[in-house]
Amino acid sequence: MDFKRRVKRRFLIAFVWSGFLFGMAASPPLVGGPAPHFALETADGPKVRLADLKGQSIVLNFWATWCAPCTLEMPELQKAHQALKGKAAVIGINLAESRDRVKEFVHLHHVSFPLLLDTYGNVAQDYEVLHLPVTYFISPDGIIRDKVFGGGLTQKMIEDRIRQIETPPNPAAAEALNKLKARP
Amino acid sequence: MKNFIKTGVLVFLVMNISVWAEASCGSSNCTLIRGSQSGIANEGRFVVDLSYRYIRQDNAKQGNNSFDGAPDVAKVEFENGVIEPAHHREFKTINELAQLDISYGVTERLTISVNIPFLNDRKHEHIDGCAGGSCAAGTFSNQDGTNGFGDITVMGKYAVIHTTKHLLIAGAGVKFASGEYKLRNSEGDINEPTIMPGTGSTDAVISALYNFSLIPNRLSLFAGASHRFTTENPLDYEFGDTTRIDGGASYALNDRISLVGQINTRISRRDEYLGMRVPNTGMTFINATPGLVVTASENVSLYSHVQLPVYQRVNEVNLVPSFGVMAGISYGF
Repeated sequence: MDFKRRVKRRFLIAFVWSGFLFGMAASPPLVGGPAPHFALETADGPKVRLADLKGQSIVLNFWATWCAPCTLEMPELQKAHQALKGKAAVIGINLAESRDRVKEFVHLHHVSFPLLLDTYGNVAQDYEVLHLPVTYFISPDGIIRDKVFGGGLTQKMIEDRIRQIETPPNPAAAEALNKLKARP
Repeated sequence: MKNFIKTGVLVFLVMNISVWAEASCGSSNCTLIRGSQSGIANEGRFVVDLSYRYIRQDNAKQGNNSFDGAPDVAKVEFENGVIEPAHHREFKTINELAQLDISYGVTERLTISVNIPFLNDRKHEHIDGCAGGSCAAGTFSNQDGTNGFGDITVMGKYAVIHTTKHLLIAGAGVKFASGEYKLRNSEGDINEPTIMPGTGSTDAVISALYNFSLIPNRLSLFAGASHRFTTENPLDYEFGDTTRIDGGASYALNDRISLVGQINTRISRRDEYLGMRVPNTGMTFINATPGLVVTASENVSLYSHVQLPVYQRVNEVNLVPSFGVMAGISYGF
């Protein structure tokens, strides 16, 4: 086989291989679907299940102590937790750190909402966490309504989003929106 | 005196290691996975990696057995279009390579990287003209073309699977013939292909790398493979295709220090010249590679690895590495 034919053949193999693998990259969206189940221990020991929280809105924040934007956001989550008591649950899920480290963080930063330990990152995997922090807003019916990526959430932003997801959808408005979407 | 030598081993084929570092933070968020040489860069970010490798080839092998004495190896004589078997006797080769890798995250999943081996330096000790049993004393020095700029490789790496615990990166790229491959020795002859900084051929490279975070940001297992499809260079010489298979684990002792252990396998097919099989080329190496990664700051990590042979097999006889050392610094911005 001559030089040019060999080059062509080998580059073709490489091209087909890469095309095959690149085409596999796709994942369904999480927002708008049911929140994946979890059952995790808190830093203090008791287990919290998503099912236990059904019927109330949930602010689910994934974080880690080494993530500076996460720790900067914590005081706002704490304020929201206090303001939303009885209306919504604020839950923190720590990504793969030790119980002692999380306990120390709770003590230092006076966090009173539950901080769950996702020791092996399985829940983060289910929630498609690639960056920290990321916060999910789950409506009382267990549907993920919103996702905020990156730090910078404030108490007001959290409360506004909870208000939005608790507002029952207006059937007339939804129908009008659907008609608009259906237009060519 | 003729200053020809055949190491049978190209330094860039000898030591290629997966380097991992995880979790990097920006002002608004932290990403869970980032890589340097083998991985992907965050979207819109550069990772610049500077590494140095030292490989000492002073063990003689016959097949996969130890070989007493120094091996006689072949020489390719381009001027006459012939291969001279058992042309010279090799004693030692010290390879030093400095490489700059620049990666840029085009999207969250796609990274383009450029590998620039800007310094290939080989120091040799051999005796020339051994054919027929009478060896003339001599050495081979750097002035005879063992020092120079190597071949640049451009790779596209795509994260096919990119989740908290699983990362699968597929890569495809081209190794260009940017390095010198026709350097002449002190007698004006073209040096041996295996001693040149570049191969003179444009090759295709494909790769795949899978990383499983058993405990995210603390304990990871990884496996990877790559294959280089070589082509014939304008001197009618073709290096053998090379396959790499790597596997290992990375464990973060604390926020700053990670231990990395890996097994690296490299299989290179025999080279060909004018369709003839070139003696003393082609090899299978399996190395154990313990290493250390130190996160110096949010953007800078330092790493070092030692490569220790577990299994080495050569065609006929040749020198093989007794050990290799690699150190580098990685900077993301």
